[in-house]
Amino acid sequence: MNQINYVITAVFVLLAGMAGAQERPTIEIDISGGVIEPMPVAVPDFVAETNGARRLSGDIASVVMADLANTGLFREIPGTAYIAGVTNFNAQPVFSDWSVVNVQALVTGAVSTGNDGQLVVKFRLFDVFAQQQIGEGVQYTGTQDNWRRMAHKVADTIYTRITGESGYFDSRVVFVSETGSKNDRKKRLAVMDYDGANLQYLTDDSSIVLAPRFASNGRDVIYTSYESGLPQVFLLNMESGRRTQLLEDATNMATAPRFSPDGTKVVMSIIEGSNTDIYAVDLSTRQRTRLTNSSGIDTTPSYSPDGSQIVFASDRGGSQQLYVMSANGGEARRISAGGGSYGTPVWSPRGDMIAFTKIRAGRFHIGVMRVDGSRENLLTASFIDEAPTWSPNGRVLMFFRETAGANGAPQIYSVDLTGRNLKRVDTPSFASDPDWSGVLR
Amino acid sequence: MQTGTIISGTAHVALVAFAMVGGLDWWQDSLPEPRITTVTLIRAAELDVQSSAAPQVPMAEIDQIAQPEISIDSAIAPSAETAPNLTEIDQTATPDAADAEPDLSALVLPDQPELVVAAPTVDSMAPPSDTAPEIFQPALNGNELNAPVSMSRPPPPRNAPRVDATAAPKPPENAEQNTESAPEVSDQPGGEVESPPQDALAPQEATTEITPEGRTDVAISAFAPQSASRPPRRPARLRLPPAAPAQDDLQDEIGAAVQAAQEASQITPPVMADLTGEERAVIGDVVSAKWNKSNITGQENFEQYVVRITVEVNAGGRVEAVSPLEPATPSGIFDIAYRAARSAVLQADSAGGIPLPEGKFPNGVRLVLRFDPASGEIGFN
Repeated sequence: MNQINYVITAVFVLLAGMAGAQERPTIEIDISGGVIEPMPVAVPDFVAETNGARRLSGDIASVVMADLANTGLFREIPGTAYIAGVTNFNAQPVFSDWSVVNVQALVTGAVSTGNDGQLVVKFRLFDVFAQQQIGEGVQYTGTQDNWRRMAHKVADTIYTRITGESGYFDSRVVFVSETGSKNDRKKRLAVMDYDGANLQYLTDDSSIVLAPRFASNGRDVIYTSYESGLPQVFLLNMESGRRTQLLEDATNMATAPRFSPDGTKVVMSIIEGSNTDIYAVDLSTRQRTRLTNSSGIDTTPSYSPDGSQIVFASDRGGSQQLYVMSANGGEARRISAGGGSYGTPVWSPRGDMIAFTKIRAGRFHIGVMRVDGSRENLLTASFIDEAPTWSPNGRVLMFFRETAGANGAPQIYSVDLTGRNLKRVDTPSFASDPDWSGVLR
Repeated sequence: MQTGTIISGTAHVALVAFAMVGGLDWWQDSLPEPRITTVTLIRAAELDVQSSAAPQVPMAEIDQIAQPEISIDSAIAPSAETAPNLTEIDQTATPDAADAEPDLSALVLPDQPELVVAAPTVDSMAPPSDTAPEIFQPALNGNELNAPVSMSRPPPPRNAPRVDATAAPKPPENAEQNTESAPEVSDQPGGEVESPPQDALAPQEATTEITPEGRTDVAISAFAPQSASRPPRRPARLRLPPAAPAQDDLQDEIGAAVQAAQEASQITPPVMADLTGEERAVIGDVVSAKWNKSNITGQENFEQYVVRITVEVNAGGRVEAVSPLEPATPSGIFDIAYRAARSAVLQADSAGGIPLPEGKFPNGVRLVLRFDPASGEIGFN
């Protein structure tokens, strides 16, 4: 009977407590302002669960942290500030140890190697102040040689969970590597991870190459080469090294190629006589279709993500401006309306914006505008800023910047869509004409 | 005696052994196993990444390519591909003047939002409309809950009330006639029937406040009210009903438990305290300083991601619970926005708590915080 009494009393005390809580007045307050600053993140070394994985436990954590910090949305809390490390991947973190050093997002991970040599990388993401795990833990497996890609995959997942956007770290960039003096510049194609790692050259420097562009499959690259003396478009399969000239008719100069989103066509400029127009070339039949027919120079075409439209630059109206037309050709409408001239337009993977190069008052700018030409926003300004390319998620732009003077040389930079977080991408030599692949599969 | 020692020693040895083999890990708060997502990273397209040597280009295949007939002397300089931009440098010394006038006829302007301005009704004789104005409804996309108010098209103004010139309906046949007699109206001087004198209806003290404009000997402030009247008290909330009279021993005990519980929890009369504008601003500033919008403002149409959260705060200003209110179950970008809002509150709590006025909320307070990422934005340049 006494036990029943205790239970009844406890229940009523609980109910009374709840009733007391309900007595609280409700007051509504609008929160305005806020701050825009990088989120403090800690990525302690991953737990090495096997001896063979010990050498990679710190490297993987470093790549993950570097990926996140590169976005400008995250700030690293250095290891020297940690009160405690992570020694057990399956144990709940002591959140107070991390909140006291202002860590908001904590990444814990473990790495191990199996008998078959496969590398296993797993991680968890925590909201420190809410003391909750964000999403499930995830495990990746692969070969040890691909540990950087696995680290990029981890960072992509973390980025998606925190920002709601898809990641872009597991991607590659093809570009023109340049060496030598300004008057005798050697150029060859190269490809690297988005962060500059894993550099590989695709061609030698015997002839000038320009404007490489990835196909959506990530295996094929199309580019312009001067090896025959005239600019011609070549296809290169990076798996096999097989290379073919796109058009057998080498009497006409062809430049500025770009794949269609489905990879079945290439759109490019072909110079016939003194006229430059845009053509689409079917890759299976090599048949070309003329899309523009104006007396001006129509060049640098780029497909919309759905393949239904093409944006290009043309001086048909006097100065070089941006125009949009159907992917089948026809009437083009001008979308650029500001002063100056525009070039190298590229449609965003999201489909909502177009990046471009703008020249005004002797300065080059990388800018973005909506596809109808509204809300033009210049992100950079320099002696020469040119050739923007979008990250796979449409959040970041890469371009090349060339310095003035006799020793001026190009380097690849990246900038956030909002104009923040301008960074130089490390390359072993001068670099220009970058093109960003999609996220690797 | 020895038996007890043996039992105790055995138990201790067993406990130590249990701990040594990791048995105490059982008490550790372990996390569930991670979801295994096996990603095959081995692919032929890896480009021999590990070696930095250039791939071998099959020269035989290149030889099969038709060589151009035009000699290299006639080749256009390699810079031709980027020439338009480079040549523009010189031309843009005075760029704006050099630019041709844009062909605005070819320019397709972005779709402008349709302006709906309800023109005032010209027909002033039309009867006033009592129907509510039609409200513009933007396209539904699932986020209307948090759409800013400005998304709604302003309703057209109602017709101003006018004199209704339409004939009044005929009275019913069985309508009673008013038997009260009114004084006759005469157009002759002295023909009116004098009304009996009436006392002034206005209170005497009101008349003294009517000050002629020309009166300058009295300061205007002298007529200003010295204090505002107190607002009417809100109706008190219902108290918990008293316990039913006991019918047997068990009910007696229940009643006693209820009474004890009420005394223990010290249920106080409902607190109708509110915050002043300054107190609200202080709380808003504390939370706002911790509200990191960087993950929201980069989103497309980020203005729509407004969230409201409920924060239970005790009398000491410490946060007891945070929960989403609107949307009730945030997902997608709303979940990102909710987590940013929750993090702001929890960080504010960690940094000292919510600055409630001392003694004003003895039972604590339930705050409903509305986070609008567009507020405080300067705009898109």
